[in-house]
Amino acid sequence: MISVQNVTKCFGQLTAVNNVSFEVKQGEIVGFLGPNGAGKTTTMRMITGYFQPDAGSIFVDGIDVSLNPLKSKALLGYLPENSPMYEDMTVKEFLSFIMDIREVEQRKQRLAYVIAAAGLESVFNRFIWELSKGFHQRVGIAQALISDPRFLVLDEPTAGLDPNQILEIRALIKELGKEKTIILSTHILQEAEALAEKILIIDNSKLIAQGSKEELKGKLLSSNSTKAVLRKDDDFSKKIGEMKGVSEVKTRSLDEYTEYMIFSKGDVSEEVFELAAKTGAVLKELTAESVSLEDIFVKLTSKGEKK
Amino acid sequence: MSKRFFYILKRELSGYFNSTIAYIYITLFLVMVNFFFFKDFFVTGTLSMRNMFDLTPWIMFLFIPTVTMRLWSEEKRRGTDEVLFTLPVTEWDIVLGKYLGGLTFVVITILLTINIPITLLFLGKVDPGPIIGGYAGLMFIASAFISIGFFVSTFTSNQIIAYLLAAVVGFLFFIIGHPMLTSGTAGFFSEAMSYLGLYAHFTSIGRGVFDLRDFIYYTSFTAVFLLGTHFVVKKRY
Repeated sequence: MISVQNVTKCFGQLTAVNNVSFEVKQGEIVGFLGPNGAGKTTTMRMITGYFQPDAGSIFVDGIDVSLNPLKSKALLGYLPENSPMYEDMTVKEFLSFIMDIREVEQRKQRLAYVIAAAGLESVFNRFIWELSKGFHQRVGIAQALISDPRFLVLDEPTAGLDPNQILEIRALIKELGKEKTIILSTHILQEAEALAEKILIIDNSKLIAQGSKEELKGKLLSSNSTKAVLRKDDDFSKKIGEMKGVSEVKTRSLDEYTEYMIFSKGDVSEEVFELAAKTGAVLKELTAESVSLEDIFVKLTSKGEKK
Repeated sequence: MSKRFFYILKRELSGYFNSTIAYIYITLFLVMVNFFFFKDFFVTGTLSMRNMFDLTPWIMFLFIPTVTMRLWSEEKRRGTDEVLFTLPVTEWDIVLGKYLGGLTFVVITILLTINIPITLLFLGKVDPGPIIGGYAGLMFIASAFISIGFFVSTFTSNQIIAYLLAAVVGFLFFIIGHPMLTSGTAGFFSEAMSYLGLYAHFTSIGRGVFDLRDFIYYTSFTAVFLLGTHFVVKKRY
């Protein structure tokens, strides 16, 4: 289990991570979701021991990362953002170097496994600087896997890959997730949706939501939204907020029309139609939409608020 | 410290020998040392390496920053320090491994000047004492210079800046003990400055005399900069 407890990290005046707490259970795949610069990478760097938290503590399998970094680092496999590597080494040399330091036993088997898993057969003896971005990323993943760590921290594992490679790597992560505990960050919503059992949404240095996809949809928003565009009408706008099952209404003015985003439990489009008819409001458009993770994300993160 | 530091050292050395620049560096160094030595050697005709031990520190003073400039700057620029510091190794393993990697490279370079003492041996009877002492001295000077460059390269991800910083700081340590600056002052201060500065220790090595005070000086000089480096990298950001 990875346990992050009230962790804060500041860089001068800037608070990069602000009082973040969460837990990753054994065998869970957790997706770290948030816009760029939200604090995902900083949090991961603290888990892996690259940064020290200014406050709070982090435990990996019960080991305090600050007090016993050697032990916790030995348990973790880490793919840093952009997967930095010694470009002047060949893939073989680099992986051997990591195996040396991590004191990997049964080197041949592990090497054969990661080469196959990451699809590196064709570039095994090439220099890392010669590799395309996709291969580069795959060497980074191989490097994180080579010691067969129980915990994997993957910072944007599919960045820079083409669509086919993305699918391959996602399948690999899913497969690994059967026995390993994985934290992965992404700003691609579909990826979090496809891979993670639990999602953490971080924005502006704070953890603003966590839970399974369903929980997030259920807890944070109602599961449905209805879009209605009507000619400006005071009566309708007063009554729609009071309607049963409606949790929130957002309005946007479009010249002589008003657009209502109605968030509710269950589909309320029929009720909205009836209300419009009763109040005599002129209904121009009515669309029932179910909420996607994307909506939650846009709604929760600051960029969405500004819209 | 564990054996893991040895893997860091090995990686650092392979980093040098995988790059063409290293071979250019070695060649240039050897050509310069040999040229300046043999240019005067045939004029004076004495079977002594004093001349070489006198001038090599000057060449190292400009060349060692080219060895050290990449030690941390390149890691920072490429982001590979993140790989290093998240591996199960201590900061001391990393600092000592990298430092000794740089030192080994320079020591190999210095030892490649072996053609000079061999030439002397062929030409007549030479006293090996001063030669061994002189070489030992060169290694200790190299160690001090490397520790300066190693330390300053933690502050920048730009290799050119790391080179210039190393050269400037090295030069400052050189001039504080120079007679030109210390002659105006007197007594304890003057002695302290000349002990602190690199100059006085250079000249005794040139004479082939390498005494305990020089040994303590270079060792503690190196240790101070290694401690500083460890402090900086431990803090990271």
